[in-house]
Amino acid sequence: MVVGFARPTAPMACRPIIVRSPDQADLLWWDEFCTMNVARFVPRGTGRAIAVVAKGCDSRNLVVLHQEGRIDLTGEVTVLGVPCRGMIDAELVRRAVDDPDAIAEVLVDGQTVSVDGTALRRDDVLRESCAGCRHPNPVIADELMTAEVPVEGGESRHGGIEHLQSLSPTARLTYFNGLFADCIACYACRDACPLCYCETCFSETSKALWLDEPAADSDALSFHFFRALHLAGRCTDCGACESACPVHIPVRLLAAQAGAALENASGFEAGLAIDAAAPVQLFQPALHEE
Amino acid sequence: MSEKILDKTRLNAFLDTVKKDFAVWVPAERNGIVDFRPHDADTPPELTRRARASTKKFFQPQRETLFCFAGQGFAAPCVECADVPPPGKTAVFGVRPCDARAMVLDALVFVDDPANPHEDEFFRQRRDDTVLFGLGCKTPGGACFCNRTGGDPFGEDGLDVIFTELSDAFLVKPLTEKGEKAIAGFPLEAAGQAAIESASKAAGKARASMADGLDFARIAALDVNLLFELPLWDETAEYCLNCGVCTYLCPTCICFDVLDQTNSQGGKRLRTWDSCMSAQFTLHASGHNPRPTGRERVRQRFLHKLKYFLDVHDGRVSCVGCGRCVQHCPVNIDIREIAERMASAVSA
Repeated sequence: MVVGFARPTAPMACRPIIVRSPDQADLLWWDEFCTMNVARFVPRGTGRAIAVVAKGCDSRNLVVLHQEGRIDLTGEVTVLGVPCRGMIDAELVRRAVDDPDAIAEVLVDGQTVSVDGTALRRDDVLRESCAGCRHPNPVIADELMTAEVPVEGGESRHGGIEHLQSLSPTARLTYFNGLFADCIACYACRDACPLCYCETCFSETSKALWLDEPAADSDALSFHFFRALHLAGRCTDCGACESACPVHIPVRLLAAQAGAALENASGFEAGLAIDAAAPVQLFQPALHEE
Repeated sequence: MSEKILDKTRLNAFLDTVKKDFAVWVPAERNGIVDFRPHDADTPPELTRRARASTKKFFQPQRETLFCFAGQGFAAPCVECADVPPPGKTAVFGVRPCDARAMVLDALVFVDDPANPHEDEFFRQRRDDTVLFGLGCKTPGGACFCNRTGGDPFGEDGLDVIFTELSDAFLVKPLTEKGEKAIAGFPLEAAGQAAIESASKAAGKARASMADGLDFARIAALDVNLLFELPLWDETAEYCLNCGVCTYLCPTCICFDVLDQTNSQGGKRLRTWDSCMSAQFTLHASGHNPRPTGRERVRQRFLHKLKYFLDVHDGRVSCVGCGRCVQHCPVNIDIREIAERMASAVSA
């Protein structure tokens, strides 16, 4: 079976799919709106060979899932790597036009994103996580679907985070309160994340009761903080959480900040090599002290 | 009740007048997202882009306090809630006809079900206290299909007043006594025949722009057991995230949870939105879950909206075709496609 993307029914939408026979191969699709992380949709325990259509970030999440014993990249799972030029942020496209609900067709051609004939600059509507991407090419691939793309990102990735870290704790809290004020507690960020695979999320336990007032501002903030801590050193900054968010909250900022702190302290970047152990798997007192 | 004219430049002044008796909410942008927000002079009402969330929250807030109690145990007496202001009179401007119609459908469950003598006093109170100023949809969106669900881009169900945007004015048509009273404080001229005709033309144009097809009556004719076992549910569950985007943005998804929030002094009983997409939704205290996987949950959402509701409420579906779920589902689960596939089901 092949886990990939299918042609969506609405402009700028993204639909993951699992195809099971050669005659379904035509259902597979690729465009600049394949924003979900396909690692999230790899089924477990099928006893069948699984091929996964993976862009750079997806491949890194497959590596993390392998490191954590969720899938076997040396056995059942084959990676069909797709070098990626970055995905478009549908919300940014919506904001660039007068009547976003009327959008009928969005075509991407080189540096131009054409919305029913109106041209936008690709760089202006690229997902923020993609704009600074350092790993657009799959880090592991059994087959490459196209030639590798040049790595352009790198410097800007942590720009927003450096700004955050320059703020006082009080100013940072004010910033985050504003950021999550629109959160409707739909948990799409968590549910789109390939790393949020807990059988029962802490947000849904009643013993202990971590969150007791759904959709209260304080609980929204707690949820996003807790989740970010669970992702530190595992998050690949793929941006699926942000793409899933119905109110476009930059939810990845928190986990990316935790990841950046870890990277600065230990040089570790998540999901690059299948035989590397993640920092959480290697307790180092010296690192802990810092 | 006759049509009136409101010059566009006087919209803020009009809303300020309404504000003397009502808390006024309008669709307005913040952080790039249009949503219903309290009106003030700095946030002009957004007339083109639709609100991300529906007007459901005015009748069923995401979180509301039902009552408060002091002490612990079953004998804890009810006390006045310290910091829970009563909702009070509310006027919402810019309500699209689909959202208003959704309120009418939701009310069938909460208060207007002839077969159910109990009414939800909280919903009833909010409905009594709220006046809806509608805004006809001149340009229905690509994901809109209100016309297929029994609605209309200029439909009047559930609205108290409907506004139609003309070139430099609104045609204002009061629909209920409540609506007429709410706008009475602001002097409005009677509309001339030309304005009335131009509004009617805009409505006709909007109607004509909408696709047809998608006939829910075909689902009504099908056996529920046939629909229950469709392979469609397995297929959809493979990529459904089971997140709450569709249910929380949906104006007719009204399922809720009730929970107590307590400390040593007492506590309060809350009612919050809930979602059939969540595993917790049907989890029993015993640990048994009658909807153990995503397949049962995604099936529940569509069968409830497009079959069970329809069977109970005279062929009406619990969907107003607002298209929010189509636009914002992270994995493109398209209710139009699901409905079409349900309608096309044939017994094996």
